[in-house]
Amino acid sequence: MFYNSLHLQNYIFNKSLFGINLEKSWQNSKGDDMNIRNKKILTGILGFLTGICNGIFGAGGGIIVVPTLIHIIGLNEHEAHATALAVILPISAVSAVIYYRNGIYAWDVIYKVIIGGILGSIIGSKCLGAIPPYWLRKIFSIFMVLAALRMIV
Amino acid sequence: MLFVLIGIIAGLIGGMGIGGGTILIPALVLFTHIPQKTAQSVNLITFLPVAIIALIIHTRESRVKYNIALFIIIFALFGALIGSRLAIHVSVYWLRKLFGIFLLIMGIYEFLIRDS
Repeated sequence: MFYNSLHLQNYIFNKSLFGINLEKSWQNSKGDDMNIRNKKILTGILGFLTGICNGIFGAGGGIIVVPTLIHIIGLNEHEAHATALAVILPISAVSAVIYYRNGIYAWDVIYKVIIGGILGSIIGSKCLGAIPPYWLRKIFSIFMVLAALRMIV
Repeated sequence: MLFVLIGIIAGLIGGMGIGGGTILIPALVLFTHIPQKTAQSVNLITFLPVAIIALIIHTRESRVKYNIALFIIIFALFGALIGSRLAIHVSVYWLRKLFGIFLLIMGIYEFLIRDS
């Protein structure tokens, strides 16, 4: 994709890639008190951390990349979630390949979880609004804390 | 059957914008015999088909800012290579504890900060 390192450098620090005007999308973002170069450096570092986190824990890259997209880039919540997905998909694929090649996988579990996951998302989309998301989030965050303590101790 | 049930719950939660994986991994580790690393691998692999479908839908509604995504992916890929190698080399015991700390921070974040 990048036919030499100069091209990559151009992409990261300058203006365009294959005619896409990058500078424009950075300038349009809010938080204009931070200059574009600093914004890029910060976004790059947070992107790197997203990869580390998603690789070592096999989950949770979104917890870093979504706030980055909202607060540094200035996307709205819908755009941030959608764009985060585009970031996490390829890095999860790379991580999955590394886990797989080291013999860490369990197909007999995976297919059952996928079936359940599809059912869960269908049920979720049908019942949306039955319980306020605010309370669901509160309840599940308590479960997360309890599970965390159980895993640490 | 237990695996399907855990999948259903993760699918339900995943749809609400809380990472499904942060529910799926601890559920697999605490309620079944699946070790930490395998649970993480299960989450990474099951995430792929679901994410592809969701990404296609989001792309059609032109919510995905690909130029910004591409910029972040370049850095995130380096992180992913390092992070997953770390996960392979850390012992299951310590990875579970580390994940617990990560989950604790996420849980507190969800509970206190997310709504503001």
